Amino acid sequence: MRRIVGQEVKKVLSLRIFYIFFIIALLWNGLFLWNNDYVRSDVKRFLQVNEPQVVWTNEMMKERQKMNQQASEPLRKGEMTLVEVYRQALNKGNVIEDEKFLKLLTEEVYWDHFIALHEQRAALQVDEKVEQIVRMYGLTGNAAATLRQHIPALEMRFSKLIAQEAPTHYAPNALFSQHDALFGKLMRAVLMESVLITILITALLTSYEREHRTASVVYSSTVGRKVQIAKWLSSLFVASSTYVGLFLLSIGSYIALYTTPSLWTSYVSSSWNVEGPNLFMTWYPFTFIQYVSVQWGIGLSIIVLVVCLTWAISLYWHQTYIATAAVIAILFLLFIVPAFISKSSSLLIYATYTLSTLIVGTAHWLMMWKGYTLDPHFEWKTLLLSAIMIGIISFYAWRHFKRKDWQEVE
Amino acid sequence: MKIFWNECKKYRSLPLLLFVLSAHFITYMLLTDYDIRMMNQGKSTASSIIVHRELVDTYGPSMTKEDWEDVKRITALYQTKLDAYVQNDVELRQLGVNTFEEWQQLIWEENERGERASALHDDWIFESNESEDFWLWQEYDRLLSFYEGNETYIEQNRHGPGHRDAASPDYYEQLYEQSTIVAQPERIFLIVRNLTTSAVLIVVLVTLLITAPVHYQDRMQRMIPLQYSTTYGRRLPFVKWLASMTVSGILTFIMIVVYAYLMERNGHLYFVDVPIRELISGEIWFDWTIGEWLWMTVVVLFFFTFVSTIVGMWIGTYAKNALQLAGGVILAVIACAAILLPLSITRLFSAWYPPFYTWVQLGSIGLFAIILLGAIVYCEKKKDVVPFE
Repeated sequence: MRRIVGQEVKKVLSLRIFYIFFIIALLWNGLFLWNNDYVRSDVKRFLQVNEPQVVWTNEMMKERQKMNQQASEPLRKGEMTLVEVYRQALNKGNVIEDEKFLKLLTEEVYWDHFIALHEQRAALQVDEKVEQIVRMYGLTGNAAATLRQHIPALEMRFSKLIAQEAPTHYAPNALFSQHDALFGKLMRAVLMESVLITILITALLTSYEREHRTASVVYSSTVGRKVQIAKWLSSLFVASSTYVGLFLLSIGSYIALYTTPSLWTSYVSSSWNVEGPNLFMTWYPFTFIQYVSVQWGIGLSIIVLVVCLTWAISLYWHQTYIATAAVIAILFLLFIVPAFISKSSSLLIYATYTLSTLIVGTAHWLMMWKGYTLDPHFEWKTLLLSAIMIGIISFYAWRHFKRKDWQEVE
Repeated sequence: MKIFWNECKKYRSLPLLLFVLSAHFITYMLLTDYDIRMMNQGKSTASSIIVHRELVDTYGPSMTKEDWEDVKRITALYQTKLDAYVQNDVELRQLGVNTFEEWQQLIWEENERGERASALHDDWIFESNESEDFWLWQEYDRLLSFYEGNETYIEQNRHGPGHRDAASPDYYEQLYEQSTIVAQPERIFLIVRNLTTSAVLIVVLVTLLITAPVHYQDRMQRMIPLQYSTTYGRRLPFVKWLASMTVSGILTFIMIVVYAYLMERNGHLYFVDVPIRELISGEIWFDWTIGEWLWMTVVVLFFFTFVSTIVGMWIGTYAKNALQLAGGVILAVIACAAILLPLSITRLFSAWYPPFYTWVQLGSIGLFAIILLGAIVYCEKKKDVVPFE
């Protein structure tokens, strides 16, 4: 079996189009990194200039008392704004040096941020936030009640996060734009590209014998129809490797270029990671690196499930083109199913427990606030449910394949 | 002719039919459903459409300065109705509010009184069914403020290109002349332009999806050497393309008819006589109406059907394996969505870009397609049948 798996892997690796896809995916991600103004200029400059300030502020945030002592007096008391301090200095003929000005500016920004943080924390009511989501999506009846069921769990986790001081820990990576850029856009792009390549190679390997008219010969050999198991394993290996490769090269480039070691141990939920109604708070107090690892894990699970789904569908059709189109269509259809369900039915909420919702919402994985999917165990339940469904489809596909008379087909 | 029909028959397959139906269904739900149904959704949009319809009904597709004076009068009338509502409301009276304007100002105050006023305001406009007058007033007031503000805006720009580098002073001169005689169709044009963009992607997707596998099939079944050895011989590639073009053209035509029906049913076609070029958003180079824009869309859709059949034929003819076939189609669709739509289709004849921008783009795409078709036909003529086997 191992030899056959090796041969199947070689089949994929000998295809130029596989490398072309991989390179196009990398170029696309590279273009995103290069083209993202916020990530490229602001964050990098911010980190380079203010790294000591970030460390300083992280320490300050833990002890408010200490903060009070070190922040500049008139600014802290709100007696004067930074512009007024600067203007006063100019009037006196003292030109404040740029570096000093920058330090003052940073200090004030951090101070304002700190105050805003506490104000936000004091003002936030979990049940009100849930009601806001209910209103935003126009949910009524059972659908709204299903969402409201999660309020106690949300309140509990929310208070725990506060007790653990995670939300007060400042880290620039948690700023909404950067979170959205890395875990939203880049991670989603990596996952979508990997899913696409996974579908293509799995469909190709599974349909290979039929398309090359060697099915009758291969299936009557000693290995027989179990060759499809080898193909499944090969697809799994190549798809996972492709995902890991894309993940390491793309996310790794981002981390190498735009983050610093002090950031890796910062909490993703810190500084509330908030912009407008969007609030990114993780269910667990994940640090940046832990969250990246979790993203990798969930992404890999999705890839494994997509391999199984494509393999099962290819066992029915045995045509790469049709199987590819069918899997893509299924993923899209799963995504649009909620549009047909009444906004008062709890089915609407359960219809979002699909692979497609997971693939699209990378930035919201294990986050508290994410539209319909407020369930604390949304990701695990979705993966489990998908695994069961795909398992059943694969079982029937395998049974159908084993009983197929290839003489008639050929 | 018999060969042409035989080639057309290749498209008569269940998987292809399912592809077409699924692709249309998915793209309708993801791309166009919102723009089709938007006309009747939400209090803000619905009231906006009601006002636009009233303007068209009362003043026709064009409006004079006198008409706008009339609109001012209607707006004032709605304002009076809103004031009356405020004066009859007990809670608002308790807050010391006497006019609607006072209420609007109070909701921004950051104190207990302001918060209460804001809560009452939100409840009234979003939850109550009696707030229709507010939405209509808001739309009239918005149009009026645009009308009044835009005269100044145009005046500022008529002597220079302003922030839109591509637009010349002449353009603004012309716009200024028209500015007083046009109803405001910006919301309708926005919807129609979105539909144009989505329709191009759907046509490209569907055409590629069905064209490429049919051309690939002949090659995989090793029929090409046999076909090229017949008396019809090397003229076949062109006939194959003609068949693809005919079938895809029919599918595009059906799609246009279905969408026209949906647009008619949802009220989009009510505004076909309204000129696009006005002061808020309709900055295009030609003095077209919404109806003329829709006809232009039809032409563009057939143009992209023509281009896509050639690209699909190219992918299907030269793909060495199924992965190249499926991958080629996917890449072409992604290229269309990521490059063609944002850089070309969303900017069709836009005054934000030079007048030749769209012509050069569409011309280049058309030329590329013709050269590609010529190259395929030429290469197939030169191809030796023996190495096939």
